[in-house]
Amino acid sequence: MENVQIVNQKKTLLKKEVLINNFSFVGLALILILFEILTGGQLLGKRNVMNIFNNFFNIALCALMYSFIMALGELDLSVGATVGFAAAVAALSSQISIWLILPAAIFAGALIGCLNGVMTAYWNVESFIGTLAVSFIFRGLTTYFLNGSVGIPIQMRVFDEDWVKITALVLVAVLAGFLYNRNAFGRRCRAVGASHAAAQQSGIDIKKTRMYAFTLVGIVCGLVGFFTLVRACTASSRTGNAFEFDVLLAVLFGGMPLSGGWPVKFRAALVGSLAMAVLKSGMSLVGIDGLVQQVVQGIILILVVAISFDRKNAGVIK
Amino acid sequence: MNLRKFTAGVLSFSLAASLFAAVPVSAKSEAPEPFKIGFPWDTANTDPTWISIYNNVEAVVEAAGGELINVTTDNSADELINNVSELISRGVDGILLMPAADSMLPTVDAMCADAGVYWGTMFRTISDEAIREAMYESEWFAGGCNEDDEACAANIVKSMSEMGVTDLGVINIAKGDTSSDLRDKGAAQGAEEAGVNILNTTYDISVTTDMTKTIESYIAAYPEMNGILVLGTYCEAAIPTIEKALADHDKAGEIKVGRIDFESELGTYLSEDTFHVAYGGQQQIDPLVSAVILVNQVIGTPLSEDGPTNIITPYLEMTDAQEAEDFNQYFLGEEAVYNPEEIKDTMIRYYNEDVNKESVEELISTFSIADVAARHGETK
Amino acid sequence: MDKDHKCLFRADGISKTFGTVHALEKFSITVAPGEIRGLVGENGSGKSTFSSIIAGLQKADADSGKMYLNEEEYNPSGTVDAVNKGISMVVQEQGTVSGISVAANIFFGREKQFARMGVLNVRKMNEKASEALHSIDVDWIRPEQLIDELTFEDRKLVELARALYTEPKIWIIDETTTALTVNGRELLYRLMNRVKEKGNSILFISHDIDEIMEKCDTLTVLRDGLLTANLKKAEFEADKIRSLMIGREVKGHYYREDTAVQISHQIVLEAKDVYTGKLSGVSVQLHAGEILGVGGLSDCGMHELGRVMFGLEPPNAGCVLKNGNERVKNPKWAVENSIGYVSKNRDTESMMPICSIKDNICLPSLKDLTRYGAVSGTGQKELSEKWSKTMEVKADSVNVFCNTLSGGNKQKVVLAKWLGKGSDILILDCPTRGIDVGTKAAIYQLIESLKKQGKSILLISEELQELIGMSDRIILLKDGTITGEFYREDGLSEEKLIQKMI
Repeated sequence: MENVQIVNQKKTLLKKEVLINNFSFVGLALILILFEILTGGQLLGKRNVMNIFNNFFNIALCALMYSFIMALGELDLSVGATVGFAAAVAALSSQISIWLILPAAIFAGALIGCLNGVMTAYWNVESFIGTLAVSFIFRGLTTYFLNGSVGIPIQMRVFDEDWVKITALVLVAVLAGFLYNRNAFGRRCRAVGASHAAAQQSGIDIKKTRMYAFTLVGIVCGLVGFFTLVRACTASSRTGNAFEFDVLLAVLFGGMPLSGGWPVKFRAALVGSLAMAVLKSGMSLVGIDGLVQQVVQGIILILVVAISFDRKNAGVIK
Repeated sequence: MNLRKFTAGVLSFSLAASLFAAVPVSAKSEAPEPFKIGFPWDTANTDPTWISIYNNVEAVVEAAGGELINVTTDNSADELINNVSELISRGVDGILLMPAADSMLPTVDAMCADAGVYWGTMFRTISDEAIREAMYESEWFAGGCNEDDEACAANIVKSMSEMGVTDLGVINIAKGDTSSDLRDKGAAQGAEEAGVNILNTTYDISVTTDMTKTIESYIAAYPEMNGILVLGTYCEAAIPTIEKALADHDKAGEIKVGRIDFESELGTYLSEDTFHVAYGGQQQIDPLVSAVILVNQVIGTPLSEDGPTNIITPYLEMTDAQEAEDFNQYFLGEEAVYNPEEIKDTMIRYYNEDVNKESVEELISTFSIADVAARHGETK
Repeated sequence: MDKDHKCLFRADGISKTFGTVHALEKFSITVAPGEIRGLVGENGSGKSTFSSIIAGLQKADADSGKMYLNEEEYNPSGTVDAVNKGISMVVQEQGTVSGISVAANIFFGREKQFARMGVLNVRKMNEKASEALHSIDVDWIRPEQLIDELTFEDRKLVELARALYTEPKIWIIDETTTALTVNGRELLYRLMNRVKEKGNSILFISHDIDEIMEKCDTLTVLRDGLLTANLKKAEFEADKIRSLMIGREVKGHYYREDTAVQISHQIVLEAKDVYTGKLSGVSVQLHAGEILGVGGLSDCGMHELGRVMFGLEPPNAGCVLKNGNERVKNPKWAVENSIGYVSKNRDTESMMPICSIKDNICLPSLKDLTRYGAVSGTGQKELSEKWSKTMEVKADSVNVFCNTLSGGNKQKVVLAKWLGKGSDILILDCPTRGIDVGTKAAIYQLIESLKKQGKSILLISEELQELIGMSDRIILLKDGTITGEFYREDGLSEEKLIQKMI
């Protein structure tokens, strides 16, 4: 009987798989077409493409490394606070020397990532709760240190050039893609997400794997903090506000299931980030007000989580 | 509306032309070339004050014959920069914003200069000397309004002192925010002059639960406290929250409450004598006049010919329930504090060549709750 | 109906298809009152499909035949309906609901009878639950206890109480004995006899052929959804049943046949005076090329011993050493130092179910497959194909997801993983648990051939026959201490072992 049921399950699983694997692409295409029509071609107009890219850049940078966290079946709700804290530390360090801005941002990001890692891996704190707590702590510290807002010299805007950003994004994407798809690290993350026990019993150091994944996200948040800082030349207590939801929405929309494991596909980070950037720009172009935008994002969040949850179920049967 | 889009291209030419022709254009009755004003504002915030700010800006732009384009924002520095970039790509001719910090302004100016777009500020002055100097030299900065926060804060502390307040608990926006800092300074000065003791100041309260906690801890920590002064906050329904906390501890009416910036519920508490004094009203007049400065610049008829226009808008005092009622009706209603004809005739130079910085300043010097009530009462 | 052949339950030509595959094809069976009917077949033979149709878990095909209970047409709308009509089932996997009391579990779905005006009379329910538990001679479980406080076996007993409380006419026992200890089994057998004495019948599904032969009156063998044979007690013969199940003669031997063994003096892995929550002062030495059997009752500590020796559980005192001087620190160290471990919880611990065969097999070998920082794609493919072929995993390709495989095939994948890693020491905890006869034989042959290659195996098992059949040496544990040690050459028997276990 099992074999037969299995064949049957395999079929429904396959159907579902096809649907889910393409959900993100279909969703992206739908969003693109919908807003391209609604805005009468303004969406993909030459000027707006740069806006989409600017939105996309920050989300994608973070989402690329967020893949590892999702593969582990964990969450990081502190990325927004990390970006804010990194920007704040970098802005303060610029008062010593502007050469410190980038290293300070990355160091601050790595520090928080490390803390998240230690907490989740060694203190057995549920990542969802732990990173939420960290988020509060570092938001608070950011506000405290900045005392409002701190500016950096406007010359730093040279780093806001498109070519700098594109280079940075490509480098991070190549690195993350290699780690995720080619290096053993990506496989370890997915294995831990698929089954802690099986991964542990196959000789994988779960603690270290978690630690590295959170640290990577922290570093990349530091980078996002740097680019946010050089764009506005100002770090404020609201820098990176709600960024964690943008990233989470992007990876979920891209089709990464919350349950982690092997179904977490790397390309989802890019597809999801692009979809989010287009969605944001499109809604704004059409003139949808802030309230409705929140409602739309909330609905999308529920929708994608419902779909990815279904997939988890499909795997648990039997 | 569509016609405006098509003619948007023609606009840059007309702008350039009007720049060179720095001669005041004589009064006209027909509309100027269509123009668009971009305005990043948090349209997800349903607080009546926030909505009225939007309404006043919109009234000016539309009265002058332009179109207002909104992008939603959280008013943080980085988000505002993205908003500016987005608005520029949507072909606006001017951008009005509430700066989050001085340090973001050079970036805004650089972006606007690149795109040939004017920009203006509201509610905030530029405290940083170097930045202010640089901005006032920029040909793309139209100027903006702000209030004399320092004087206002000093005055409200003195008013409260006259009501018998000796020990004051204070709530303010955030350190680093220019208005917030100035109000702190003014309050300290007023307190010194009136002999009031400031017990503590809490910053950056953005949700009602934090407000409740702050008030409760004040009550617990300072039994001698007989006044609470909100110098400013981004927390919604601040006064109702405070009143609730006071009532819960049987302190309503006993502790005098004052605030800078009006909000919609004040009347109830004024009539119950649990709230005592508010300074405000600038939240409607400031965006209105700020929009006037920018719109005049965009049309090509700037209010002052020698650089950006800075106008200080007055604070209004509110101490009784009738004023509160009028305020709710005429300040927080659908309409702006000046009606479209008034704006067109007395604030837009394109339609009336006698309009200039001084005339606008004179006009708003008589601005008061009674004034608005009377003017709107007439037109109704 | 002929009065001489009294019939309690009858099924006529039941079919069930999933997609294009026939899980059950025109299956007919007649069960007499007071009969214990065995139902055997390999995984996928259709026996569980049939039992789940009777129990109301699944519907037979629309054009399929009919079922009759006491000569009345029987077509359950669901499990509750089936129970009301007199058919209860106990399943292999855990069937209790976590987070609620024992009594609530016993009356799960039937709480209404204790409700008045929407308020549950807990006291009354507990009383009844207590009655239900006492009726199956279980007096150590209190009805108000939270189900989660109970051991796995006690939870099974609660399920038995639930199933029997309604006095079912037909009681289906699906692979329950593997989850029970010797005591639990004895209790189950007693209950079976009681049901039988009352004139009700039992459908007994098990992989354990000896158990089937001993307990059943008649036996129905299925293969690929088809009925292959109905046997009477007199016709029972282990080899015959096996070949009926598998469809061919079971070639060669099942267990090892040699008796004389030479154990090397070289110790490859040893536990030195180990203490954990369950073990108190256990010392075990595994020699090179040895199959060391570890037996005992389910909670005697033998599973913990396996975990400790793999480094999964750090001992509170004592240590585990490899080659006499290297300390086994953690599973990572163990894997890197050629120790492999197969957990008794296959689906939750040994493998990643929503993941391909290839990824499962390659998991411990990722480091070995890495060149210049990248895991070689062809390397993975070759490794996994080689070993899944060696293990004869039945799947279209190594890209097939493991959750689509049968239990036996899954276990083959788990073993292939360690063969691929080339581990010299294997700790196998219940490697044949819940696995069909065909795969069992294959696993026994594998263990034997590994031994011949000089690998050392620690075989932990709850099945005494398996230990006797495979081990060079057997140690028995009771309450966390070693109570006996037996050598293959001295001759082994179940009686000898059981004495030391209880």
